Amino acid sequence: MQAWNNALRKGIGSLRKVSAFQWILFILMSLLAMFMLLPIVYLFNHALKPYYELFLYPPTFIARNPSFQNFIDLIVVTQSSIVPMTRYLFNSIVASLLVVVTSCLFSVLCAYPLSKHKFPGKGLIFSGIIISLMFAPEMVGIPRYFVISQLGIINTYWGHVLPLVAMPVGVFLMKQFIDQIPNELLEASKVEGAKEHMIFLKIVIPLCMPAVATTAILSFQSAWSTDETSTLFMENETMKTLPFFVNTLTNQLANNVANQGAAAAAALLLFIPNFIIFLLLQRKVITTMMHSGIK
Amino acid sequence: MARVLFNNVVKRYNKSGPVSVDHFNLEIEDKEFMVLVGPSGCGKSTTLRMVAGLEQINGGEIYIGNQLVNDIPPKKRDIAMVFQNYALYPNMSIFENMAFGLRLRKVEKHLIESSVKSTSRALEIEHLLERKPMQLSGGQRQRVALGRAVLRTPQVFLMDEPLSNLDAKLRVQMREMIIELHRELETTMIYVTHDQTEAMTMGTRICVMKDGIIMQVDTPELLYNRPVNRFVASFIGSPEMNFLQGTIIEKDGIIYFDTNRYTIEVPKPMYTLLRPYLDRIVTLGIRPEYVHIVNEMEGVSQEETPITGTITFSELMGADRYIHLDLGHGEKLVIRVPAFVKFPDKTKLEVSLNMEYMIFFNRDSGLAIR
Repeated sequence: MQAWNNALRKGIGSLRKVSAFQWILFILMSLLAMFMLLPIVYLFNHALKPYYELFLYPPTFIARNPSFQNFIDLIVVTQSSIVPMTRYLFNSIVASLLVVVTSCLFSVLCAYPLSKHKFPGKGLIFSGIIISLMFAPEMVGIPRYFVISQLGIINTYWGHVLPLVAMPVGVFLMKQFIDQIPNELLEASKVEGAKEHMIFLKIVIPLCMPAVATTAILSFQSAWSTDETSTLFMENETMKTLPFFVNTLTNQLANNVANQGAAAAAALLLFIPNFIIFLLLQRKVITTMMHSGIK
Repeated sequence: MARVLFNNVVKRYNKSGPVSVDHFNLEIEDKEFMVLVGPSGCGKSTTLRMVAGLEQINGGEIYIGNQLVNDIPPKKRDIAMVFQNYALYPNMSIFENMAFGLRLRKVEKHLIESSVKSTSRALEIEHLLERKPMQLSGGQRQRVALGRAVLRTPQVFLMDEPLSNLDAKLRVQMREMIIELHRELETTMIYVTHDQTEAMTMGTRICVMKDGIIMQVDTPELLYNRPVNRFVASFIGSPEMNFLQGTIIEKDGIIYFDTNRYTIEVPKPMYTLLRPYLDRIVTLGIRPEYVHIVNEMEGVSQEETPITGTITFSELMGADRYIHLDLGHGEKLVIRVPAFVKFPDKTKLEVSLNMEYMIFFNRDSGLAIR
């Protein structure tokens, strides 16, 4: 008994002890994490830098004399523009939310049969979806324009939403996740009398919430930060989105120096919703099958 | 309550692939506890899934009650199924898990509540109703799964290795619980297992399968004592039945089973059966409990034809002890003796066989000679 206790104590001790390798790993990982954090730090500070600091060489990460002047500039610029910034913001929010909802819905609707049903051509369809991951966005720009214009949805919100609804990454993610749901679970509910839509709504959807959350983050990020749809499919200025507006602050002027401060402030404002969405959903993302009690 | 009838049922997963279940004919009577048993990959689970409607059949007919169910979807077959990995919905509480089927059938709310409560009380899971499946132990989860099946009061219960994920002690408890459940509900049950102990203790009849073919369907007693072939003989019973090769010879009107080292007289009632096999090699099967130790030998044998061997090792199983005997020439014999019979390894033993319980098998076909 005594020997056993000693062994146990030793065992616990060795668990607590951190080996040299773990230390090295820890340090390397911390450095990597800090490096990954740099852009975000830069983004925040850049927005707070007074005008003269924005163009310093070498650039600085930390603002020396933080001020909110850039935000004031931004407000001034937006007040002087024909379409108010709030309109761009509203368009962005509506379009992004629609994209998140529809792309998640279609991804899971597409992934479930691919994962759990048998039908001819299943492998082919899945390979097609995977191959479409490789298309560069520039390549699909013109065909997309034709589709959108033929559908007559130029200058509508659907023009923002439709190009982003099909989300191969989302389908792939969901399929991998649904693959992990044991077939017995679906069979049990089938035997109990559940129809296909009940199985889908009551069992598949609740169980693949982590994948839905991941897909939601990804689709929100792509929808929120894209200006492609505004540039290509929106002729009416009032239908364009915030990222497009931020780009116009600097790009479309002859003078690239003007409005840099306002652009920096706007970039931060553009980033913040992404950040919030990620913080809200990351807990769901980390929840894996192991935690959900299936296995 | 219903009988289940298989008529020439065939199942193959690939068109060109091998058959998983081959011309399966079986009638399971009303209120019967039928156990399908066999090694893994023998098609027993497939058979069960075909009754459930989870697998399409490629030929033949399956009847539940008097209804042909070949093309009827699972939910209309009025069956309940219990799975090996419990198949509880992780996103729902235990109460919701049990009530799911009833809700789908639009049973009134207060009825759902009262029946879930009473069933869970009977299964001793009443205190767990608010929890999620992941907070339950394996035994509790399986009881929930059982409760979920019971609640639906189906015509047939299908159980696919429900106890395989449980530890040995729980398995015995749950075994009793299921037997009791069957006695109370008097519903037809089809139970799939690879464990012959479970099959022997639970089934009113047992169907032994191999490679998609039924080997034998009988009561546990008959299966144990009168197996139809070598496969059934060795599959049922633990430790396995002993098999010895030898020639049937006739000398002075008496028939003997003769190996080069020993000769055994065959009991009179078997003469007519064994006459056609004279001078041919057959296999003799004898259960370990029908091998008796005659004496411990010092030095060489005295009699002319005793069966002798050296103990390689012995296993203590609690009340019993299994002695493994090496007869030489690659032949082995296991003897089941009470635990107090004790010999050191390498002891030479002389044994005799209880002639009444031996079974002869055709060496080539493996079929019992009877």
